[in-house]
Amino acid sequence: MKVPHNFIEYLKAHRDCTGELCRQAEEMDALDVECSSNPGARGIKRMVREVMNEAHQMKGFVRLSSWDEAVSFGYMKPRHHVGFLVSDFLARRFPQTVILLGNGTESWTSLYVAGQMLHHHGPSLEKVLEHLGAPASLRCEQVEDAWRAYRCSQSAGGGDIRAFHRHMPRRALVSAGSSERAEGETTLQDFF
Amino acid sequence: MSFIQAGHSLDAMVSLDKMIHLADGSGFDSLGPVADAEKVAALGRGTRHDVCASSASPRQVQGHQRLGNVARSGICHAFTHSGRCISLFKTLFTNSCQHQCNYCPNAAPCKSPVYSYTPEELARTTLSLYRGNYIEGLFLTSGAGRDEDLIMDRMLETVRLLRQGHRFQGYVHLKVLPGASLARIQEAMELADRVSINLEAPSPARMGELCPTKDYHNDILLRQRYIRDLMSRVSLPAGQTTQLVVGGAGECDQEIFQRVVQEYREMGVKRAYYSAFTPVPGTPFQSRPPQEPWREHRLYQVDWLYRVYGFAPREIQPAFNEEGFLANCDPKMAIARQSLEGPVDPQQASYQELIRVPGIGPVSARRIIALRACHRLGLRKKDLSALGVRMKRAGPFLKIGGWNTTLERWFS
Repeated sequence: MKVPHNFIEYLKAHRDCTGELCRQAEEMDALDVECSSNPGARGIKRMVREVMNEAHQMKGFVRLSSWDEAVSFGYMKPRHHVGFLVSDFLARRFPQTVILLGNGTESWTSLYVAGQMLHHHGPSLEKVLEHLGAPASLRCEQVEDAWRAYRCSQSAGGGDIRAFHRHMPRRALVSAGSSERAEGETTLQDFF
Repeated sequence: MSFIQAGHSLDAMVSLDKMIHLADGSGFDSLGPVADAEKVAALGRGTRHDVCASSASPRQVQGHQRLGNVARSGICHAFTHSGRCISLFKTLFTNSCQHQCNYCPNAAPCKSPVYSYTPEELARTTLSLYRGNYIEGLFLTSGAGRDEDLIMDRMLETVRLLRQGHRFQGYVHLKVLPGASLARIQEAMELADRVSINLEAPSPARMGELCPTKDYHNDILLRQRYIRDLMSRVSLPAGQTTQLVVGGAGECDQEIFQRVVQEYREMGVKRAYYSAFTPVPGTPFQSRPPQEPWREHRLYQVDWLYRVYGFAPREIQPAFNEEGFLANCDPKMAIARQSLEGPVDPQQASYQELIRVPGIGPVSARRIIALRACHRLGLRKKDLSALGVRMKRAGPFLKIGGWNTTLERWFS
């Protein structure tokens, strides 16, 4: 993953980013950050990559539901401030559909309409859904069943839990509220 | 500090109610029920060995009255337990097939229950999964039924329904069935991002062993030529690809590689995929030993050396043993051990020399050249390591800061 020219935007989205670090980063260009063996630059590169990785994973792992054609929503609790990076990406994919992502404390809403991106940063997902008048039961079991059946059909057996989580890190799955598991993987929850 | 607060778009913050008001005009109808899980599983299982790692297309998506787009960087929505990414809804249209492929559970002699989608049902299922962000697009293949053109028509109807009926702009990879007509191939190319026809075997003789009912020249190579010739008139953003079964008919790696090189040169194939043979119970080849997955991996490495690194086939030759098989080790390392004539100095070497060193890829080679041009290339191992060079592998082949390397000492 290459360090982009607007890397400072990604750096600012890191949860541990400080004003001092931003000032330090402003004196560097993308090539410096990407290629330098200086510990400061390498630290910035690591932070930029962490943010980019998380945004990339969320774009793939977040699942959307909807109760009407105008709104699609999904759970997401990222470690870094990537909420709008992901919701903007999905809003561009589904123009004129409100994309609402959020968790128990905050939510990010994006709408791409007439070539313009609109945003709303709001309270918890639950509160926003309540405000929008979403029905009580929102789970789309049919689509989830089809997905589960499809996913199992692609497995050739002989899974390796550690290898599976290299591709789908546990932390990313938790952040996206995903219930995907490796074949044969059990959690403490299964025993109760 | 959030990304948006840190960025440039603060002026686009609006109330939720205004957003809902503006979003009302999306105009997409309710999708209706999706196919039942049993059918999805049965037809999905038939594509388990079809490999499609890419979902990126350079196609420009325009307009606001549309559903979906294509991403430049492929997104993986899930992974199988064996590590293959699931980015597309990979499915058969029907598992009924007239061919008698000895390795395939859908072949005519195998008595598996027959399932088929209707075009509406498959389009609805694809859209529902896409809108739920489970997939990046559709990979549609099929058994040939009793008449391949009839099945191709149904497959095309599905994609037409998606593209024109639902204004779906996501990625579509369409398999061309062996023996399909020119008109159907042209329509497939007009609708899809990528089309492919499976080569399966490296030669007609091997194909005879894998599938006696397919004519290698007429059913496969001729259709690939159709696609190649049509590409001058029809835009096919992600190009044509192909796939081979590795080790199903006892062929060696060199035989496969030579055929693939021919495919790249003569057919304009964008890339080839490899699928290691796995015996399926109930098929004539059920008692044959499965091929090790590493064989597939080594073939991809050799393919990469030819296609991305620009190695000539004769340069890759030392990676194969006398029987024409690749060993389970990095082919680039095997080639370098036999062909590098002296240590490479990163301060002076050309791009072509740099990428022939194990542990240096095109990205790190380009970085070395870029930094060297502005006199910023460091002379320490640590500096090269920061550029992405794998020093453990590259170290013995490099001359760093004028120091003699292991290789140089060995040569002297």
